[in-house]
Amino acid sequence: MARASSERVMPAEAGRERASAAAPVPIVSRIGGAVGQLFEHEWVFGYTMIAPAILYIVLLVAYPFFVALRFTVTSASVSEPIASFVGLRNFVDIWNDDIFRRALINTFVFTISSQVIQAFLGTILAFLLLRPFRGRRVVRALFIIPFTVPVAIGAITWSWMLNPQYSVLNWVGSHIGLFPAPGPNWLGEEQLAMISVIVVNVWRGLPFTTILLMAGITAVPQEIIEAAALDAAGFFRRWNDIIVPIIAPILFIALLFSFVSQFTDMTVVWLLTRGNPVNTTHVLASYAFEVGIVSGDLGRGAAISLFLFPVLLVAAIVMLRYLKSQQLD
Amino acid sequence: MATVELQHVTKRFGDVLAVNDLNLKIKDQEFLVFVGPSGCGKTTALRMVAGLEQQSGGNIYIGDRLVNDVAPKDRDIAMVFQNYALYPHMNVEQNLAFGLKLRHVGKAEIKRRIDGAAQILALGHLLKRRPRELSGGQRQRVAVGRAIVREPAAFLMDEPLSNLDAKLRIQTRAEIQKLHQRIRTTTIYVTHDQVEAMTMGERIAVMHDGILQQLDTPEALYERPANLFVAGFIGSPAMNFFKGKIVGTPDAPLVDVGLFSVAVPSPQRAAASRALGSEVVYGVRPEHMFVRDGSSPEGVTVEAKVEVVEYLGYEEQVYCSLDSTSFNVRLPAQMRTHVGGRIPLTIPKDRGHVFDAKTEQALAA
Repeated sequence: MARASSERVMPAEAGRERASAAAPVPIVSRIGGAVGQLFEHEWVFGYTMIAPAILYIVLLVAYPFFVALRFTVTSASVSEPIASFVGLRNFVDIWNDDIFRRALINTFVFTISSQVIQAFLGTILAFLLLRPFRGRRVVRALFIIPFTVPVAIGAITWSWMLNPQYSVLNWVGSHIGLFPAPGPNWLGEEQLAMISVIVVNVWRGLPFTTILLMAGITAVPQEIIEAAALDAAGFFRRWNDIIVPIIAPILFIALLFSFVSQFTDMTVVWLLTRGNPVNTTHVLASYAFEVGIVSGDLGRGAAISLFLFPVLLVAAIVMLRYLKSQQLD
Repeated sequence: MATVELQHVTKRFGDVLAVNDLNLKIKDQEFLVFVGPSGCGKTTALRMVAGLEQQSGGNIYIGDRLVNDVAPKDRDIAMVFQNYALYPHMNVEQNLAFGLKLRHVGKAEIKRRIDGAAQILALGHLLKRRPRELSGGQRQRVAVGRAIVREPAAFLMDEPLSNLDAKLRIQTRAEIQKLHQRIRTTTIYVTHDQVEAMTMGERIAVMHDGILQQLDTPEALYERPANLFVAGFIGSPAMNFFKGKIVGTPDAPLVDVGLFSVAVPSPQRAAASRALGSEVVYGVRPEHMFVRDGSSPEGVTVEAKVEVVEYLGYEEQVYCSLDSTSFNVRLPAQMRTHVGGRIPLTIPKDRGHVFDAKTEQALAA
């Protein structure tokens, strides 16, 4: 409160000073003075400050969200934007759509396996990168690269590396005798394609997960770790009984954000496979884009993309509640 | 219960020699204090005993066992950390029990030990609370409790009182002493506070620049400091030093500091007679000087100018000058010394200390 009021006073004083300084008052100063007067009112100043955020949320988040919500119960399409109300028909349609159900399963497989692998590898890497060793700075810097490279470039690079004709992986693999040439068709076979998508997604997300875990682990006071070591806690006990419970709030927030963002993410899938081969690697987001934007069926596209919204909402609320109850210090 | 022995223990951090050839033996049931300014190597020494740092050289024994390559958890020691290092997600009882559970101590035994510690430290009503719900003093007691329940061969305490406010620190200081008198576990206690060291230690190891300066009882450190550093570090306010020279005759050597000459105290007289003409530093503690009156002990008297008077109720700390040399004295409060005035100060004959100016060591007694 105190801070808000001191901010409020400043422009007003500045305006007054300028207004009284010289006889011919420049127009800018007069406006400045008037605005300053207006800002004397706390509510004017407060709402002015918060207005950009509110505009952003209303125009770019809330409005599109409600439009999409309306689309789910209409027959809107690109050719027929003024659509008629169809009730829950879009949802019935997508439920009877094999590709949708496959995409739904894929979304869970994609999200959960990416998260589990990232958490597992991230933990190991975090501990390794926290240990002092020669060249640690360089390794750490290199390690960040996948996170800093634009997704599109990373994914295109990967699509070349996984390309059936030009794959560098297959070239190396067949030369060292891992498999006979030409090697697996990474993006052309159902399961391999799904694995490839997950691997690339992990590659992209791992640095962030690791950095987060490193931050968490470093946040645990060294003395507590040492006390645990003296209390006969080995590495896994210290991780399990001391570090994880202490950094649980950080972990939960991180988990919540990455789950939500993974559930609604289509970048890697879209850039790598476009849902192929034969629509077997679609996730909900990419399939929604395919149906709603590429094919122009806005109603069904919206229904697909919002299908998991209630689940995510409940999950987010539950996790944030849990987080609040777990706060330690 | 056990002895702890360090033989030629050295620790290097890169180019820095944190602990340099440390040799000492802590007796069974002893309360030994490491004291010294920050960066003197005292905490490093303690952490090497705990096994939290690996020494660069030398041997450490706990009891009769060489523990150089023994993991911290297997050294049978318990440590109290400066910031207590309580597990924030566990309540007091769980904090105390954690180490015991991992050592597969039976449930009944865990309960017995926790009840015992809770009774000694008055933690009974706090057992179900988490650390964040405790005051600083209570957390400190839990940290001590976690060490007690382990029933280790030795306690290692790393500045356990420095996060408490002044009043609580003095109170807790007494409690730790009582605790030690009761359970008599060998204890190594690290502090930078010489008052804490003097009041708590049965013996005190004074460290400076990674080197053990003197290992002795509090009385010996105060009465017979081995060198200039110990003389200046122990005692508050610090000892006054005057640069001078040994003059006089071998039978009656004097220290001539320019402003005055004073007889070499009798324990150091023999050494001084062998060092006639050499540069020395003469030290005398502020509390050993008196304003001359009829009953003053024998000594040399100087006329000092009073620069600053700090009235403390029970005494005065008076900052004086003699020409350009400053020093301070502790005088009875009823003196009501006046700033700017002159007072006749007597330096008693046998209360001074003479140090070699070059080696900074006390002249051999």
